[in-house]
Amino acid sequence: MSEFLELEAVTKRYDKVVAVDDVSLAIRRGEFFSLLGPSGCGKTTVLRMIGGFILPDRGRVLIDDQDVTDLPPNKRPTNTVFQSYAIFPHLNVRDNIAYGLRTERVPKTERDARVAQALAMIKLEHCAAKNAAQLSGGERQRVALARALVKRPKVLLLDEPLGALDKRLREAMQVELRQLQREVGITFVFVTHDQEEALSMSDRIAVMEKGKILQVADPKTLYEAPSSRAVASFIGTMNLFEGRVASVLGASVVVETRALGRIEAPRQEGAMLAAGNSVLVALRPESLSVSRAAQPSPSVLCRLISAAYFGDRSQMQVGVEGSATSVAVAVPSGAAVSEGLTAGETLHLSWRPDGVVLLPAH
Amino acid sequence: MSVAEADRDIEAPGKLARLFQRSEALRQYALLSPSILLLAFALTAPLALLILYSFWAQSGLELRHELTLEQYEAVLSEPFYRDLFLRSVGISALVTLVTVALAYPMAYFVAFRVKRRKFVWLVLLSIPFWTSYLLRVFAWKVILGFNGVINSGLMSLGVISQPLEFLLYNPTAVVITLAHTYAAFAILPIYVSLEKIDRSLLEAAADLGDGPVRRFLRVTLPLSLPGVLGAAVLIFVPTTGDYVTPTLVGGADGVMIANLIQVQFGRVNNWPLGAALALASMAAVGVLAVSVIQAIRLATARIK
Amino acid sequence: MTARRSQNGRWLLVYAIAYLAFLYGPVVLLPLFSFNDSVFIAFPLSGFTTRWYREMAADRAMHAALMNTLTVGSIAALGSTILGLLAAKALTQGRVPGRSALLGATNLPLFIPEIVLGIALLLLVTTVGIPLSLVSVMIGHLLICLPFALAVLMARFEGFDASLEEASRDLGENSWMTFWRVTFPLVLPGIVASLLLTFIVSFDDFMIAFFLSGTDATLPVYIWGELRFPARLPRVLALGAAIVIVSALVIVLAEWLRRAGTEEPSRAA
Repeated sequence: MSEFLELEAVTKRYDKVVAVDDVSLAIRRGEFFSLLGPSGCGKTTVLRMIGGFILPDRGRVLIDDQDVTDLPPNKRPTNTVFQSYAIFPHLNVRDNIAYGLRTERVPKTERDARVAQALAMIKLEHCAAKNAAQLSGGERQRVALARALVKRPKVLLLDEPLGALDKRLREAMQVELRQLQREVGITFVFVTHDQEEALSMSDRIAVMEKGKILQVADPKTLYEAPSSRAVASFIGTMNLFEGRVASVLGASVVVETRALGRIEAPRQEGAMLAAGNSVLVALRPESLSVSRAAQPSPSVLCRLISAAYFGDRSQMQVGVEGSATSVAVAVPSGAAVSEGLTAGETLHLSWRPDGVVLLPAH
Repeated sequence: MSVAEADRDIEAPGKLARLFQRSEALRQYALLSPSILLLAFALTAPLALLILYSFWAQSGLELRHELTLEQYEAVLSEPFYRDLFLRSVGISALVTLVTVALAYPMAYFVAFRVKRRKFVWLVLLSIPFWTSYLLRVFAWKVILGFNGVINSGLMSLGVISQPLEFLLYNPTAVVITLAHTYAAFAILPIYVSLEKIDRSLLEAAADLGDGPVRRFLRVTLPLSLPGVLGAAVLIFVPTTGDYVTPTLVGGADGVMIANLIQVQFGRVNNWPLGAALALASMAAVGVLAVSVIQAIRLATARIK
Repeated sequence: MTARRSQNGRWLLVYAIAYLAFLYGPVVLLPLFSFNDSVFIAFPLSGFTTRWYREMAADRAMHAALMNTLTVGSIAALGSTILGLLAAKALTQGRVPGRSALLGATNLPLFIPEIVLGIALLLLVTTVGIPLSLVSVMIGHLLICLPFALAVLMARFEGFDASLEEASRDLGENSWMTFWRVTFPLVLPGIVASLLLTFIVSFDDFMIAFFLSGTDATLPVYIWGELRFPARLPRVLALGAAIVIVSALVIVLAEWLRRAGTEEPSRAA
């Protein structure tokens, strides 16, 4: 059983640098799939290999059971929204959108109808005759989208399309794109380095680093159950504590840590959890809390280093003995402890046991 | 590529096409191939032939193909050739100096004093030079002649009673004409390097206490030196090999090396000697230019 | 301080104007004396006449030379622009091993004295067996025009977004149609500027044509021949004046086009 869009052991090398290292992906039909990672991790190279702009040194690319590995971009059932939008400056909006339809020799009536439909979809009917170079960044981005979608590709490839937009516009576009994808039902492959963007829009995300895939999962799993330190620190903020497995008892694992003492964590499948193993205890800032009074749940003493106010919450950095780096704690606004804080103040740090994630030690 | 042909390779493309797809360098070289062919045929081959000819000899009507150094021996030993070469270099050096010196204030003006419509000034400055070089030299011949514009003008104004004889058919005429016709080669490079100077450097210098003259000497002039040197090379090298100007306005005294070379390919019919003269003078001029530039660079590197 | 500044500025302006007068003086002389009713190119002026222009227009040999020059110029312009277009595209888009060597080689003709180029090309055509004719002149002109075409077109391509061509291919076009639908329209101002510039370079060339012409002369070679006859001088001036004015217009046009292309064009297709 093959998936809709498959990459099989794809590798691409530039001189001595391996840009994409033995990457295999199976993307489902109609999925909003993101490639997430820092710059230089190979995500754009993977995208361009799906689009046909780069040919892999090894491996295959299959779309809907068709081996497209050797096909040039114009023969593939994919269309791309480029990072720079690549809007043709010598054509107006309508002719830009119609460009690919002209190539297919679509008859004029059908072409006009589809272009009108696309214009309505991106809400730029009033700009149809405007020269494309006179549009704003956000408008050009939408034209690029319409131009690609009007051809009804099997896969739409998006190369960091929202990177050049300001924050507010970007967030609005994220919502729009997600809705659009649901309406149209086309498989989207979306490249970004912004993990919030990926988390909010995607059905599944592939986290990449240095040409390799670290983990492929839905946003919730990635956030709550990252498979490695690299993924954990890339997605959101993650506090990491070194520890050693003390014992494994049925559904829970007991870990001995320097910073937090003895911790009980829910047992996760797959981890090598024999007693004596080194392990990393990972806790999100939201799974931690601080208070002035002692708590009944296990806690340790900490020292307040700083607090930053974010409107709906505060992010505090506390120092804990046994942890080299400061620990980030998210405190909702209105919590009693956030009033009248002084730097250096001693607080009690506690955590939710079900928020504890165990990661391999490397 | 017709539609039919395009449809034919919807299946995976053939071996050659795939090679082109994979190798970017191959694709680019395919585009470059016509130019490379032209250069090989019209530049490399002729220069190679020139070098080859310089090692041959002409006796009477026959071209002897055995390799020999006699042309170069003649070129290097005959004082006549050496003097002619030195005179050409001397004229060119003077031309370079005069042209650059005259052009610098002009370039400075456009770079620093013109606020709007620099483009207009630049176009105005370039127009004369896109008119035929031949005609410009001819215009000077007409101006400097015995019955020419200057003389007749001054005489009709009553300033002089006899035409001035020293204007034409001598090295001075050559220098004036060359300085005029090569002015553009000086203005543009100097202008570009002046334009590139970061104005905030001058502001910083002023802020640190330098007056306008010192600012010019310590900031503007050194920073514009690459442009000045570029201009100097652009003028010096071609003028040593100039033919039209010495022929039209140089007379017997203003003969330059190009005249001698041309004559070898004309009535004297000694192509090997002409080739050797051409190559030897080109090499000498090249070496001269490079060493002067290096010397200036070393000298100015010391001045802070 | 400001008083001295404006005084300095004034002197510089005076200098600039004087310099322009120096540059244009000889050039302006040509039209001036071309209308002068005298065989002698000297002051005082003798009165206005257009007879030199009429005589020039009637001169058969001049017509032939003009035709030859236009032919050679068109072919040299077209040829060098096409070569330059391909080369500029290759050199600005993508990695080419040996790029700087290639650029150096293409520009080398600019640094070699024209007389050396002339005699070297003469050696070539005699060795290879090409007769001295307009064809040999065309070859020489292709060589000297190429650096100019390349410079203009490379500048044009440098501002060219390579992803536009990728977008065209992504939308289904093959390389050939991508060139015509996307690359060509956007590079067009550069192409026209290159055509005009290289035409002028070919039109004005004397040295190369001098060595490589056979019986058919180009205009500069024709003028050179005429310069030996004092009686014919005013006619040559008339020709020269006409050439100057036309060249000036062409250069302004080429420059305007080159600049017009660098801003974003705002015409709907």
